Amino acid sequence: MKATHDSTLQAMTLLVRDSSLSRLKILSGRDNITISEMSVEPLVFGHWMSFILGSGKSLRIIFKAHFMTDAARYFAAKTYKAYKEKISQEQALDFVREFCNLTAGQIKLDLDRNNVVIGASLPGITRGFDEIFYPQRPGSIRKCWSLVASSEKFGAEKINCSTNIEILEPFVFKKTESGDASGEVEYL
Amino acid sequence: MSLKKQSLGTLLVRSNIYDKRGYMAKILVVDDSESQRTQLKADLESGSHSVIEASDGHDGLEKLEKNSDIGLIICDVNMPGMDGLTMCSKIKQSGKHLDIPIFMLTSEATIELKKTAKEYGVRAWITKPYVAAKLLEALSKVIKK
Repeated sequence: MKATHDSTLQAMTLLVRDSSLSRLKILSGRDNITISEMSVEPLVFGHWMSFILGSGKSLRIIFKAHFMTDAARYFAAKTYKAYKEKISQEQALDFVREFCNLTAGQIKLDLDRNNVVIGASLPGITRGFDEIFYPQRPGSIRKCWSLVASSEKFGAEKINCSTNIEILEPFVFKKTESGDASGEVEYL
Repeated sequence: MSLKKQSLGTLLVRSNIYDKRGYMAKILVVDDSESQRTQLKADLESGSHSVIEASDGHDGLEKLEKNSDIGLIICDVNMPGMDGLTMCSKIKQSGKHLDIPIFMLTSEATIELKKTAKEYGVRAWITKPYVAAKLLEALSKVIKK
């Protein structure tokens, strides 16, 4: 199979989306999360934005999680083993930062299994409005989706995700059978 | 029955952390993420371990010096300030605390990093997000040794 720019882009978009969904489910301890497409793409998705960068010879990826504090409290509640109302803003922000970190970790691991090496930054957090001041890099594409949890008590809570992907060298990507390595203990 | 559905008590008994001696260890958790530290603290304390938290490598080294009875270190790799592997190298260089087992708990999983970690005396590498049962089982093996 020959790698093209479009096929690589498609595979990477899918990888980032799948990784974000699986990591949020695991970190939040909630199985009721699904991916929802966005019908409208606003300039600012939420009051807060956490982001992480991945960069290598073959591609550059920016993954962002856009959210409101209240939604982050909902997702973080089980992690902190506390009621949503008891989660501080700082704890809620830290939770989403860790979510970005885990998502990037999964992307990096899956790429590594395909012999594509990238380095990842530490996750950052800023006000969502800062997005306005950072235009999209030329040559990159942007995809957006929502991670939505429907709950009887709180209604639908969501974290909006976006990614900017720039393919520098197209490659063939295959999701490996070994899959999720979460929690595996390797003795050195 | 899946691991998730088993009670923590069952898992602890299976992982032999609640052995006949009621053994427990003081564990230093080094991670810049408060949510990770909180989660780890709760899981480790459920297993009768006590936990000291540190937010980066500098803080970790400081807490290590102040607490001579630390029995095990669980450490993240990527942290602002001092990263986890640098902390491990400092421990090795110092020649002190070499008997304390170190577990890396990180979203990183590259072979190169694992090689470096091994050189610094790291015993085990756990890929985040961790699974409480697997972590406790690994701890019990090392603590028993």
